Amino acid sequence: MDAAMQILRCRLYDPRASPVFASAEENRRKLYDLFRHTICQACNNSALLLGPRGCAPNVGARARFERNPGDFSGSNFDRREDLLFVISPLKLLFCCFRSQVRLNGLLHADDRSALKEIAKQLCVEHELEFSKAASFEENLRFLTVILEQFSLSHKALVLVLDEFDLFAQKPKQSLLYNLLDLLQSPSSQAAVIGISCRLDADQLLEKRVRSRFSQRKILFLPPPSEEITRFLEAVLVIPVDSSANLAQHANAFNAKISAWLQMETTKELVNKLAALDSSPRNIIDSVFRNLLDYLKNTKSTTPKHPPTICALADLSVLELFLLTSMKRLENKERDTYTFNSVFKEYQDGYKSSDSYSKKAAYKAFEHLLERELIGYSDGRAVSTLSHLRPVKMLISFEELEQGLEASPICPATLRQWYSQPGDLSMFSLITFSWNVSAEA
Amino acid sequence: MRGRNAGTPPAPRRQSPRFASPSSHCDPSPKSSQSLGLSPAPRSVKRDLGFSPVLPRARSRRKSRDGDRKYVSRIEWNDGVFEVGEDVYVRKLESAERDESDEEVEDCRVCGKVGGEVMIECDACLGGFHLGCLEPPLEEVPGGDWICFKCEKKEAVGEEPSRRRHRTARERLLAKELWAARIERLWMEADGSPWFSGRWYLVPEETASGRQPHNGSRELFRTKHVDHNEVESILRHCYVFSPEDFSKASNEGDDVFYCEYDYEMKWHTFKRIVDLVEEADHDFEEHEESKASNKKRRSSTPNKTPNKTPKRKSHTEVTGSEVLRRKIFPEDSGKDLTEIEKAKIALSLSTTPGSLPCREKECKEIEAFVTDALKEGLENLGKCLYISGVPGTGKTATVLDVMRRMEKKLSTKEIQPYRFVAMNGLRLTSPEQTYTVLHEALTGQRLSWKRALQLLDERFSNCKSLGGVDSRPCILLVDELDLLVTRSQSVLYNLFDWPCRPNSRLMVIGIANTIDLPERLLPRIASRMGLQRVSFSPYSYIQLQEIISFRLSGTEAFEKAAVEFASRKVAAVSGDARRALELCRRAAELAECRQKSGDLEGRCTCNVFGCPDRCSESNTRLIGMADVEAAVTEMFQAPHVQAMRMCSKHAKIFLVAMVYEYHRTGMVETTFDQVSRAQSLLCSNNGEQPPDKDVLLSIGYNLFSVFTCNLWELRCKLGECRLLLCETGSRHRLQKLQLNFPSDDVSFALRDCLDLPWITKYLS
Repeated sequence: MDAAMQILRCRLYDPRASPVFASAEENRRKLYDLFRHTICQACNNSALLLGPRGCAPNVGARARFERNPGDFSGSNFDRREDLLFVISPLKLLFCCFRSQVRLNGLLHADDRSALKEIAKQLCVEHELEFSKAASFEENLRFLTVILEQFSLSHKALVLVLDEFDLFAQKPKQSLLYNLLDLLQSPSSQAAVIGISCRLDADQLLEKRVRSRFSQRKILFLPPPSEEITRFLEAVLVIPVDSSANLAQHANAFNAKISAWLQMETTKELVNKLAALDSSPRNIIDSVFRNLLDYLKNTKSTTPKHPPTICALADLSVLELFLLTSMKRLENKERDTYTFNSVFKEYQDGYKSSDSYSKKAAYKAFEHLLERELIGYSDGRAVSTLSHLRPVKMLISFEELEQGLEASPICPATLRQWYSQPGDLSMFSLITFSWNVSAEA
Repeated sequence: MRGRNAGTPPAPRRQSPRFASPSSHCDPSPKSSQSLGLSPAPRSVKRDLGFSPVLPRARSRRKSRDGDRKYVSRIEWNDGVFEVGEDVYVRKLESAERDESDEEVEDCRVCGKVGGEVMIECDACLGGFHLGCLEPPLEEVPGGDWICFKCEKKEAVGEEPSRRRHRTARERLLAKELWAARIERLWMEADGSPWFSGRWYLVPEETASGRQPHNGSRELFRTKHVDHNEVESILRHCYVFSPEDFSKASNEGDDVFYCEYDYEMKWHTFKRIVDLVEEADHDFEEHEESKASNKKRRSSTPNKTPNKTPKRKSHTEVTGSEVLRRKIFPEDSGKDLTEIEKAKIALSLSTTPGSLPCREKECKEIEAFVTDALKEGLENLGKCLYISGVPGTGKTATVLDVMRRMEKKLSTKEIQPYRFVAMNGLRLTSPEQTYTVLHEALTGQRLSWKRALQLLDERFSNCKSLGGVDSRPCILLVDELDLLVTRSQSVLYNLFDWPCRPNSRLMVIGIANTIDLPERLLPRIASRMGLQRVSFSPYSYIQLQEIISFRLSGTEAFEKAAVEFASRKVAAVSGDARRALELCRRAAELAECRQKSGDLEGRCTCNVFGCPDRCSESNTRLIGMADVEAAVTEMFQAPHVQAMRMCSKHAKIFLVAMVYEYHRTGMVETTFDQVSRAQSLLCSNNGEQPPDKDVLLSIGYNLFSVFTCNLWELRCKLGECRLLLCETGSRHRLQKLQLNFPSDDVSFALRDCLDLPWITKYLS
């Protein structure tokens, strides 16, 4: 049982163990070739892996490393001599002939710290003492020297730069320049792999850096929707081990899974999700809850309304009034409005003696600002003249309408006022004021 | 006690360095007569400055394989065991007959006896003294510097003609009668004779500037030069340490040295050895300061450094992998490289071609500049040259090529000797670092930039105090010059002002991308630097073609048309040679890939499908147009079209809605609100159900929320891939959106979309 849990957990949460789509397989081959050239033929390479989040370009890079030798034997080499030829050196190659450094653009604020991190990782790997005080220049020279040494012993260095676009946005791009420049020298054997979700990441490079970059881009894309069911099956079905006495449990589980996959609702759900976003991570996340409900035979409680509607339903009557007046102003094709004009609209619409005072309305207005249901439409951050600053509603009319529906304290007159152009009738005013006083 | 200058590592007292047993003498006299005939004059080559500085990798690797050499990591020879990575004394040929004085221990300067008691070393004259022979006798070795009584009295050195003293190997080394080298490789030749390749050390006197006051008495300089010699010529071990290990060393005997700098023989410049020592900005109180910072530094203790220091363990690691390598690549070395592999190696950016085609004119200009400047005599050598050109047009390569030629001229004595310093603006920590680097390269002394600036300023403004090698003209090459621009532009001003001073003997060659850099600077700099210029224009396709075929000469892998196609493609875009080479390399890789799959499956399947062109041998062996074309599309095609094709259904609709809004309003920018309205319109008009109620309820979301919330996510996703440009999320529905590429691309990408056939009508 534990073993089964372990397998599922790995597949779901560890990107390395999760099965791979056919489209990704092609990319893996490309990447593999690239590393092979670097390691066996001492060609220096640089490449960019691009793709939206959740399609796991970095998973690709990592999986490539860990699983290569095995994959290789299984996939496209059928002939015996090829196996002998390739596997034994490659296995060795991948364990002893490369050294890997990983950086993340989100972690290293500037080029200096990034280079320091490279030096640190190399020092740790090779049991050197690392000096915190070393400057950019020294670290760079250290890197040059160690690369020279690596290439003497035919060891390749693989540098993986996660969030590559952030490195490219550093002012001088000196890290990228130097790394890519090192690739030009005959005394180094290295590959620089950038990973980014920005498709135009290579356009961010300065000219002199771009010229040194080899312009290889490998695109990782979400799989076509047809593959998703197969993917789910591959993730969820447990391999049945005949020797274990738990085989029947596993079989039962697998049967349940396939039954679940056959269900109409499941299919529909999967299609729906695929229509929105078919990246593996998203699908696993979204489908999982449904699966749990199915397995445990429960119905998990879900929030009745989405967050915006909930926020609207919690508002006080006055706040709802203000929002509605804004909507009315927008209907009158007034693009911008200030607090004063909104309050005027409220007073015009609500001609009664017991309307809220301007001060109370302003408090409500501030509250709306705080909850970011409305916002100032000019860019300035703080200003004292907030009565006169133009504001804008940040929610759509549909959301406001639903919020009014959902609000337990919303008076009927307000709903009426929302849908009707013009002023409130006398009658509704009376009922409304009665409501308000009852609340108070 | 001599005042220590900055940059000199401390040479603290070592306890009893000479306390070594006399039994370890080796008696070399019989061998030496033998070695007289055998050992080639080891360092004769070294004096020849014409050696090629950079060996292309492929060549060096093959060289190590050739013949029947058997590489070993250790050799036993004449009672000594030598391992790779150890430092040894090497005999000079002419000193062979004086071998009888190869004492490993030194005698006491007072009693003249050898060994027996603890000895102490004078820090000034390196003479040894028994503690008991001193006046008054010392109980133990004192800390700190210790100066013998003779030196204290400032008596002239070498005053003792009365007694013939033994001379140690150390003394002979310092007197330039021996050489020191590090063994980098050991092997047995086919005839069984052991050889080694050694990397030479120099004593300060052998450097062009001679012994400087800040050089330590046991300081050596490492060179880049490696020679092959017979093991026969090795005298015995010596030990070269980093300054820190040197200060820690206690009991290794007399043959201990330290080495802090690499010495560039060609240009007489110094370069600090990385990892042997770390620098800190220390121009004061050397001793304490370095002791305090010892812990912080990345010191290389013997058993930790893998490869760069002369430590034993480290080198066993390197040799270990060398052995591994030979095991691993048997098929590589055994079979000849295929044509395509050869082409790939020739095309890779890291191979250095012998010469640079298509830059003859610029080459001549630069050469003329350098020779002119050098020939003008001692007065007013100062000159500046500014080189501009887009990246990948061979600026740096050309300058370095010129320098290589000048070197040849230098060796034939056509021109007077000069020095050459190269630096790169992007490798410096800050623009001011320039001063430090320049000063260090010229003198081997590392200072803070302020001090270095001061000294450099003095150096270039009055020349009379300088003699020897310092009077040689110096050529300074500054790559990526534009990075040195500071707000006050003082670094650039200084760099270009110094050459203009009388008798400064400095020449500056600046390289940058922009053609009008001088004009963008202050007028006082522009007037100094903008006088002489060379501009590198982008390569035309004919030139690129020539470059590629020059590199490919000797291999037959490429079709002619393919090369032309590739060069035309690149010339049309940028004229960047790097890119052209990369493109061809990629094409070669693709061709190789194709061949491999052809080899595996092609033989049978191709016959079945009957595609003759793929199977015909001559065709598949060459890299043709098709491969280049594939490489071009891979490199130049922006990925966004493909990304759009593969994105999910609603993302596509969203993009179409953007285009639709754009056509409707004519504005490039829209708001999220508008787009979402357009999207729901599109969905409802075309029977595309916007995510519908029942399914969504089943997972607990209602229609609306999933619709907008996910639209929201969609927007994030597209924005993250930069298919869209958008404002930060806090603006909610008012967030402004914009397509990041022409709307035609969307039309192009989504035109033949299978799952949404109706989309086309909105895209026209």
